[in-house]
Amino acid sequence: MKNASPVRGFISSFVNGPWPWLIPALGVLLLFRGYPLGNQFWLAMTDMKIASGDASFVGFENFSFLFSDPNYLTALGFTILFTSFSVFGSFVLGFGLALMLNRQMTGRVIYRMGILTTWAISSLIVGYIWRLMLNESSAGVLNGLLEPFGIGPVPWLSDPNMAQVSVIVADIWRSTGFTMIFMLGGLQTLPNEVLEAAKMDGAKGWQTLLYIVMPLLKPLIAVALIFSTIATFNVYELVLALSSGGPGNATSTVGFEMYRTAFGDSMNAGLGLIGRGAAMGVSMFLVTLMFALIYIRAGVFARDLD
Amino acid sequence: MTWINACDSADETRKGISFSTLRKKLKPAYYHVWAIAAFTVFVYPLVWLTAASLKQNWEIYREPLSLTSSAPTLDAYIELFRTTPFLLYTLNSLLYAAAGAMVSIGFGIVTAYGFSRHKFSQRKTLMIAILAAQLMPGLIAAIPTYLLMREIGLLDSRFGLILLYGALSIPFAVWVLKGHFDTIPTELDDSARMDGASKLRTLLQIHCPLLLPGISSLFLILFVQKWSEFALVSVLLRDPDKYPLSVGTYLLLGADESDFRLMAAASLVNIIPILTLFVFLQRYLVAGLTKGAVK
Repeated sequence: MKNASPVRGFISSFVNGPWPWLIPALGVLLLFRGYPLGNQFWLAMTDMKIASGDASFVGFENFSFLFSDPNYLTALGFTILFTSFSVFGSFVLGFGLALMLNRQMTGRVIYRMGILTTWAISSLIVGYIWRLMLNESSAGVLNGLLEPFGIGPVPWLSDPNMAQVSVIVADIWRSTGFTMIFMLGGLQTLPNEVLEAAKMDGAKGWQTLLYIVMPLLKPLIAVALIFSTIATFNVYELVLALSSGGPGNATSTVGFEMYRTAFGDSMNAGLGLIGRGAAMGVSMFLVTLMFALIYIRAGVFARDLD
Repeated sequence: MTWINACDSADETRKGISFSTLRKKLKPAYYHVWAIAAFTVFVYPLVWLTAASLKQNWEIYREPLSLTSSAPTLDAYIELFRTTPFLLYTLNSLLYAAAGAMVSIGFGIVTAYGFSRHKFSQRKTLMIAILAAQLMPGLIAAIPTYLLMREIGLLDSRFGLILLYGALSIPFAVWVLKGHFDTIPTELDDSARMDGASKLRTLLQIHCPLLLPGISSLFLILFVQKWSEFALVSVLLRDPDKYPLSVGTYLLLGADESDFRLMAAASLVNIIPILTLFVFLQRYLVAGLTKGAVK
């Protein structure tokens, strides 16, 4: 007898339903993702120190401190500047390269592969590579390259403004290949007939791009921009390796400042201000959440929900 | 098309080469100039880095631009592996990256099956919640994650790190694998059920083989991600014997700024395994990447 009692009926429909498949992963996610993200809001309202772990409630004190803290405000300012330039730069370059390497040309696979290479390198190592190249002693390769043109020596990392430019350039170098491959994927989905028809109607290259290609790729462009904004805004390793936030704190970012506050400049030693660091984490979370919601509202992924 | 081209060339021979055809002929060359320029910008630093790692320091300081050396040597690499625990770091990185990716994939397969083969009212909401989790970089929650690992006694534990790495990528794995599951016709499930196979057996013996290409490219992407991870692992491990390459490199390079060849060699040890994977398996990597990202 199946479904003899309501209890057994419930159990059997539960066992045959989706939940046995979902509960393990949802449990793990709740513990390792949900709980930390939520707990951070509580931590941000305490004065917890890393060593003792004791915490007492201080309300919004950490937040009001941050908004009068020159270190945090400088970091926030540079993070916004860095994100804007880096996202814009890597998009324009990556999309441009995708358009070029989408046409029939000999060796395009080699070109694509070479340009995509940097995507495989971690931010930390990209930072070290650029620190070597931008070195201001006679070993620095970039100043060596510019010397014959009568430029330099450029204080790449010792001048605050140049250091900001250097960090942005290194990040564009790291992320352009990904944007290129991403947009190439989109370009290849465009129906050929539409492009041919535009050509027949006498549309020039840039007109086709502006009025046909870009509108068709709008969702994909939005995804590329949102993804790279989230990744760029939460930068830490690149800055740590390339400039250590310096000179002064000219290239310090919110992520970098959060680590310095909570865990210290070098590992295992430092300020250990968990509460204040968590407040910075909350600020990063809120900005990221905003972009994540834009992405979700845009619903580019909707076809996968069914 | 060929017919149109033929007409063009017939015209050309009659009138001689006009300015506009000349420009059209030059255009491909023009694109190659740009392509080569871009290629150089992205690849030259790596070639230069390799050259620097094979030189002596005095040579780097005297001729930083030269890509050859009068006496190339593997000294920097030998020093790296003899005097520092770089071999151990490398093995640790391999373990964390491979095991972490496997954990994500294991949870991902089971969960994606649930989402793909069942229709229920909370499904969309749950899928979107998982998507939101995927969009949050681990760095944002570094502090509370550190405290969580401390509370549950998984600080400085290889097992704990692998579990965390695995957990953080479950959302990505679920989304990618759900896309693959949806391409497997449910008729296969039905006929397996007719033959008396349980759901689990259907999943393992019928779905998994079909998912294998998707699983492989997912594994590669997750492996590269975990291999590169630094922010979390740098605060979660204490014992130097457990450090992965990223942390080992940070410790080594943070200390000394002047030993160029050693810095170059250490950076290369970090990227050579990934680049090798990348060169040989690029197609799968890119296919999986765009699939996961676009959807």
